[in-house]
Amino acid sequence: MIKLNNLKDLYSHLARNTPRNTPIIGLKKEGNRYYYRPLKSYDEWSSDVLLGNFSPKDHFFPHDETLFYFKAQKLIESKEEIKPVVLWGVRPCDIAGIGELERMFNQIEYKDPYFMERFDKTLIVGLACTEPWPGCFCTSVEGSPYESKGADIFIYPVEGAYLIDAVSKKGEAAIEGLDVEEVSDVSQLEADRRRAEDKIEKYNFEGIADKLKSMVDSNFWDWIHSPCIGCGTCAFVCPSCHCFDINDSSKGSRGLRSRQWDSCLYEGYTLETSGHNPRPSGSQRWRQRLMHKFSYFPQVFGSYQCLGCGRCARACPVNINIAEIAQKAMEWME
Amino acid sequence: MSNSLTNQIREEARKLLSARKVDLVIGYGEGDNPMRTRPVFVDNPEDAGKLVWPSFGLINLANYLLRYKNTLHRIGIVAKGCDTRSIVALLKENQIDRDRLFIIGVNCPGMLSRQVAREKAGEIIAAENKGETWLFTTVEGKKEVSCFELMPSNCVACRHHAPVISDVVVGDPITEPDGDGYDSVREFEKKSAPERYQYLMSEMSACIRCYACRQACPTCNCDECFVDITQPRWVDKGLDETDLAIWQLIRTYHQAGRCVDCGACEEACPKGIKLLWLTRKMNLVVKERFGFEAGVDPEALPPLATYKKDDPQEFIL
Repeated sequence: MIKLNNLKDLYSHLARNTPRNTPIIGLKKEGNRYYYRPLKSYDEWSSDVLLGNFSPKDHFFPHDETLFYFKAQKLIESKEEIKPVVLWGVRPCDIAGIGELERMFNQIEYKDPYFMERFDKTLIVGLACTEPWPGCFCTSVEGSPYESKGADIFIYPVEGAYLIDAVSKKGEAAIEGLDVEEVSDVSQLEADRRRAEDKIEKYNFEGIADKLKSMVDSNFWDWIHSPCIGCGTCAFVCPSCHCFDINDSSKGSRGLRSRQWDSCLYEGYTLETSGHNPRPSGSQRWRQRLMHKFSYFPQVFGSYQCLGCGRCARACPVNINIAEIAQKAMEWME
Repeated sequence: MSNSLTNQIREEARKLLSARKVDLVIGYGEGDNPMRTRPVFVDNPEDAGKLVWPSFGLINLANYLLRYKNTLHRIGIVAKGCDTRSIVALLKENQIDRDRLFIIGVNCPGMLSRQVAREKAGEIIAAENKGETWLFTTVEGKKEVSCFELMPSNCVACRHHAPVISDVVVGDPITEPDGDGYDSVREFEKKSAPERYQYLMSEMSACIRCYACRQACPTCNCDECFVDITQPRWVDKGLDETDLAIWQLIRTYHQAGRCVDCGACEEACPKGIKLLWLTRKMNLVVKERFGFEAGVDPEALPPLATYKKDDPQEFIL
């Protein structure tokens, strides 16, 4: 680990030592919200905001992405060249979210070339959360505000300075040449981590995958769905929701095939061509949402598909809080 | 949260549920922080304490009545002025039955908006009510904002604070402000066409097609929304600026003579788009041409449901 007094030194080093015109994408204020956007300079970075209103997933898995073009019977690959980028100042929950997307899009049988090319060409610079926000609950879903896993480089703010850890080989290569001496004593970080974790609200989700499995026919689902208006806001702000819809648009014999974000809470999500809808009610759709995140995903991949960022509860027009709901499921008795 | 209104609402709900006059009462409940409000569905007199009169309550509860369209439930509903206008509009469109409905109307002093709070204070981490003001902890430090400044444009423009239809009314009557509430629209109309176009396009192009606006709106109740229809496809699904504008414009047109300016759409928008500029302009056009305001007169037929020989039609080419 190395110590820097000014974080700008790391930023400038990365800007200099990456191929020309490599964008550095970080949180930037636009209107009165914060988004991951290419930064023109270090000073454009909103360093004091913990989480963007939207996660950085748009960068790997764009909201609206052209897959290919076609002309009559001929297929033309999408010509957009994917360039390397630096993703700057990403919090541990969002990094975990990127990891969940990668599990989904990088399977032995199916690899998503669009996602994977972006993923492979991104250098992730993580940042520890010294001051978690109300509504954060990462420690209840196996996360931590000081978790560096998944990042290439990870920044720990300490008293008046920053400890920089090269987590991956890619990260090591990226900070090579940064002329600072190594720090050997990093024992302070453990106390810092505990201090940050103590500020986070705790839930107990132990055994939730099995508990939910036993609740398939429960009237719990009617109860949790009742305030939901069925908009897609939660899925759109979520760092790990990855469902998409595929659409063609054409004019004459020319056209393109694209994909857009979708949400399991939409009525049309499971609507079949025949007109049959296997999940016709809001309660069934909510069952899918909660079970996907807290039951199916843990069973298949061994980890929650919810990272505890709390964005969905903050953005939800009717304040549905997935952590509270999961906790209620744990306590639910028929 | 107003304690007096909260207590009155709880009392009315308790009476209704105890006397078994309704099967459930739909009202506002507390959210996970002082700025958040959740709809609650109370079916037991002992749970009436879950009901509150919120500060940030720009949710139109009439939206939930559509769920009970084909059930036999007798429903009590807590309704502010604009919600009762939505109820009238839904009754006119035969979406709900009056005889299964018990309306706890509230003389609404106006709501506060989280969108406005974000505009005024920034990214809010924690909030605390200090009576006439709110103290926000934001990423840029502490900020205190008066309740008056936190009112959304629709509450400022509102001239129907009292319920237009109800079975019982709670709260003290409110003196309606002068004017018709459309001054801000008339002010906007004075801008040049390119200025208006640019402003509206910049708002519309921020849309992410999550449809929170549609879902928050009681009037957006088509069985199948035109954007979801794929055969034929009326509008492409992506984020092309033209498609975004078409979505917003057609949504607005479909609201002609139906929008009650409750502001639920704008409050629900995760991008903070100023959706009410379009619908309020539409409301003004309908008012000026047809002398009609949605949901205000329980007897009047909406302009789209009626035809008069002397209807203005100079706009038809």
